[in-house]
This record gives sequence, structure tokens and C-alpha cells, in this order.
Amino acid sequence: MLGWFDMDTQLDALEMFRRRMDQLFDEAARDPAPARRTCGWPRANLLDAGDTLVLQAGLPGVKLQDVEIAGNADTLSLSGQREAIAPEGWSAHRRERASLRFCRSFALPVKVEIDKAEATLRDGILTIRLPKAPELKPRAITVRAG
Amino acid sequence: MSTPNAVSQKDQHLSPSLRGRAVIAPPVDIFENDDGFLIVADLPGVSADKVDIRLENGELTIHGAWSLPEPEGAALAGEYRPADYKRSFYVPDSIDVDRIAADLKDGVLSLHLPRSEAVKPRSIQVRAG
Repeated sequence: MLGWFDMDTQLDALEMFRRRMDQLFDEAARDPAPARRTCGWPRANLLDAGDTLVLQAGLPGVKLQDVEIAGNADTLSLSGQREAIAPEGWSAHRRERASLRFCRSFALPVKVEIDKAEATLRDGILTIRLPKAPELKPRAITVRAG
Repeated sequence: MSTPNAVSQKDQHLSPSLRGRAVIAPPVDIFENDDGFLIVADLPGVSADKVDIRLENGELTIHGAWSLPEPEGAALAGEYRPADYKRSFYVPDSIDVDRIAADLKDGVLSLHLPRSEAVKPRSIQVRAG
């Protein structure tokens, strides 16, 4: 028999479902560049933070020495491997995490100074900061009275 | 008493929309051997202090909250957004709750669920009476 609180929990589950569906449609509508969406691994975000471009990629289970970052003024590529090996002496019930080799290139929208790029890998998220080329930075122009 | 329990469940359901962040189910690997189970989950962006693991009524729930700073700047291309993670599993009663061990490294959570000694098979003597 359902008690009062059980009933409440059931209704709550429905409410949660409704909210998640809303969120899903909401996110699809807000997607900044749906046409450029790809399904490569790792999944990455590119952000414009004024003087720098910031690329963030989710690399869970990848060590810093296993990822190679290369690039030039307007492209950046990430390559490496992620190992998800079954530990010895265990049998698998469910495998959803893949061992994989990855290689992804990104065409950058503006020129960057690749020599000054900084990369950090923390909690499985790789963040690369790419300073924009100096000629792109805004300059003040003085107006002389003639 | 059922009241506090019902309230805590309600809070759990409400939390995603209050934080304004998506809650996604992370991919997991599940392994088993004679000693117990091993659950491995990808939780990128979550630090060890933001992982919450609970075992209630035979249901094990992993909760991970995004703990890196929100990315600054305007998005030029976006394939993911900072997310919280939640996944639940029904586990057998034979798990030794006090010896559950968790380890988070490079965004990957390893959770070891040992079987309790009490449920190891035993033979029962039948006496003729």
C-alpha cells in the first residue's frame, strides 16, 4: 500500500522527469554552434576570453604524459590514449568506458601565439590557454589636433 | 520514521534544477570477483571532496559535483557543459558497508565493494532427531 510519503515520492519522480525533459530541450535550443557539433573524443569547448582562447576538453583517466598537444598559429591538435583495462582477476559485468586512442584537430578562429600556450590537466579536464596574436589586440589611437 | 527520509529524497530530486547545471549519468565499468565488486566511473571535472557516495536500502548512489571554476568567456564552440554526475546501482546485501573504499584519480572514480565475511558459504549440519 502506498503511504502518503510514498505517493509524494512518486509524484516527485514525475516532476523530476518533466524538469529533465525541459532542461534537455532548453540545452538544445541554447547550443552555441549546433552545426559544428561533432562526436569526436575528447569532447571539447572553445571559449573566447578576451586576450586568450581557452580550449577545455574532458580527458578522464588520461595522464599528462599520455597526451600530446601540438599546433601552429591557427590549428591545435590533441592526441594520445586512454586505457580502461580490466584489472587482473576480475570478470566484467558491464563495460561502458572504452580504451581508445584519440587524435583531434581544431581549426582556431583567430591567430594565436602557440609558443605562449599553457596547458593544465586537473581532475580529468584539460585546459589550454592560447594567447591571441598581438596584432589582433586592440590599440588606442591618439588623435592629434591639426 | 519515514518523514525525514521522504524529505531528503525530495531534496535530491530538486537539486539539479536549483544548481542550474545538467546532471548526467557517467559511463561505468563494473567488475566482480570472489572478494566483491569494483565500479569504475568517469567523473571529469570532479575533485575528491565533491564526491558523495551513499548506500541506502541496498541502493548505492554516486554523486559528483563539478568542482573546477566555471569556464570564462564567450563560447565559440561547445560540445559539453560543466555537469554534475549521478548514478545509482542496486547492490547485493552481502556487501560489507564498513570496508567500502573509494579512490578518485584523473577524473576516474574507483569504488571497491568487498563482500562481507558473514555471507561466505557455510555448511549446515543436519542432526537426526
